[in-house]
Amino acid sequence: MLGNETVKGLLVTWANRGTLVPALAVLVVFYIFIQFLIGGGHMVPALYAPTLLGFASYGLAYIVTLRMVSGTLEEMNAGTLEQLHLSPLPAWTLSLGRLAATVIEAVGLTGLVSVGLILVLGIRFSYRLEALVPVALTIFDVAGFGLLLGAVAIRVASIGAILHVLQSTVLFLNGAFVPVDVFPSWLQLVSRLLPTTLGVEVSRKILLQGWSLAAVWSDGSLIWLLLHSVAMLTVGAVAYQHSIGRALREGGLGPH
Amino acid sequence: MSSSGTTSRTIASRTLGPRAVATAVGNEIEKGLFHAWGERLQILIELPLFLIFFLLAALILGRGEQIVSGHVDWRFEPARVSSLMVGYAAFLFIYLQTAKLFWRLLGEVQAGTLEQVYLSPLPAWLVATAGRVLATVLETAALVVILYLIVFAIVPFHLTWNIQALVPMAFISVSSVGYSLIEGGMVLAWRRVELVHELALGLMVFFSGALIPLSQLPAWMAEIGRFTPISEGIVGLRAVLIDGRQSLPVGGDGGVLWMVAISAAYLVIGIAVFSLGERIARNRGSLGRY
Repeated sequence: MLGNETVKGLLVTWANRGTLVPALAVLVVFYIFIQFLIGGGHMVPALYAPTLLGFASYGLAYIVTLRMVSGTLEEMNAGTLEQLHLSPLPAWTLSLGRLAATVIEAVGLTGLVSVGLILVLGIRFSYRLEALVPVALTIFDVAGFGLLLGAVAIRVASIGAILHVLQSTVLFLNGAFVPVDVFPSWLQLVSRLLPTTLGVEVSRKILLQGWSLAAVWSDGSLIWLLLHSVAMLTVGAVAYQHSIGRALREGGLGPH
Repeated sequence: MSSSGTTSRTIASRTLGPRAVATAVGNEIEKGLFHAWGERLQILIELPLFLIFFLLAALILGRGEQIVSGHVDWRFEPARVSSLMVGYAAFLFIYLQTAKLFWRLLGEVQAGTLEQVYLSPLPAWLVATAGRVLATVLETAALVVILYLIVFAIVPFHLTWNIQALVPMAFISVSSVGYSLIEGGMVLAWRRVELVHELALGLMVFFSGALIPLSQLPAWMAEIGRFTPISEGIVGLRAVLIDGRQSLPVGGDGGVLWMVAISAAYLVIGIAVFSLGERIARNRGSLGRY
């Protein structure tokens, strides 16, 4: 069943492939112009590498949360979300299919955009396999965030505005504009509570500053990332399960 | 079928007296205000976002070298805040006007109520925008006042208030309405144009001089930027509110001629594109089909 849901999600993505190219163009153009504005009318090449990690993570979070929310709402409006929950499997397990398809799409798209920007702008990283650990944890972190917002979408009609605010807050504060360690200390604390920020910081240490996994573990940053990802995934799964359960009891799985 | 609909609508429009037209437009304005009031929660939720973006932009724009060095001076420069506030307010207007018209049309298409617009004897483009403009003016004004007060409490900045400011504001409103009609026409014809909408408004914030004045943009960007709906209005608005000019020049950037030309062009093109989109949708019979 999970496999079927994943395949269904991927088929829907493929059916909407015409929107992928403009989506990629929007991301690339947006990144380049942000850099341009921060430079006050010119580009600052030294900022490319540290901010690209934040921007790529934002792209991941943007696509996952958008697809989770819009996918949930579309199925609610079409009446097919109720049919899905005729299954004996728990709600959060069923949502894993959509989540898996969404994550595959998001990783693919942000990967393409990142590679494109790296080639076009000549960005250099010290590529190391160890970086896959914070990248994987960031994906889990974002997946939990997507589940959480999917849960909110079932309950709250003004989810569009909430989604917009949360996505933009991640963009402003996760290091996509300014590396987090340059922020004032109170803002660093706030930004590290958001999804993706800790993943960006750990990835930066490995890919830009040459730290090893042992080093990021011993300075506590990897531990915090691990805790954040586990907490986000747990909270997202519990919230989604609770939201679906309540909507099933109250007959609220149909259109808002 | 579509031609007979057009004919009957044209006949009805001709038979409407000025008072009936005023009543119909007044009703649309009232409906727009009800819509705006219904969206107050959404605006309230998004307000912190507008504020955070403004404050962050005021702090980091042009500070790339400081960021690279790792030592950013996290203090506001009042002159930069003044300039940014003017450009940002103008951008907020076109953003709200376009986004609201765009999503409202899309919502009506999805709900199947768009065809009801054609029960009105008024032209569809007028029905679509008449109610929206005053609501957007009020929404933008409320947002800008709140932004202004909060930012002013953080960093006292200076604007020279002058009645002349109403001139560029009026041109910004007209060209924004024209631009929103262009996107409205695209929605009627093609439906799924969200990315075009996002890309266009995203580019506009960079090219229009809303964040960095046209005079500080590279020449090629400024040349393109001059043709965005709000750029000339922003130059004029800054001349009055920041430089304290008592009158606007006739020619050149921010001059009355440029503002008239740009806003008239956007309005005419907007009405034409909206009408074309409407015609395509009616020929396909897709006004009420998503």
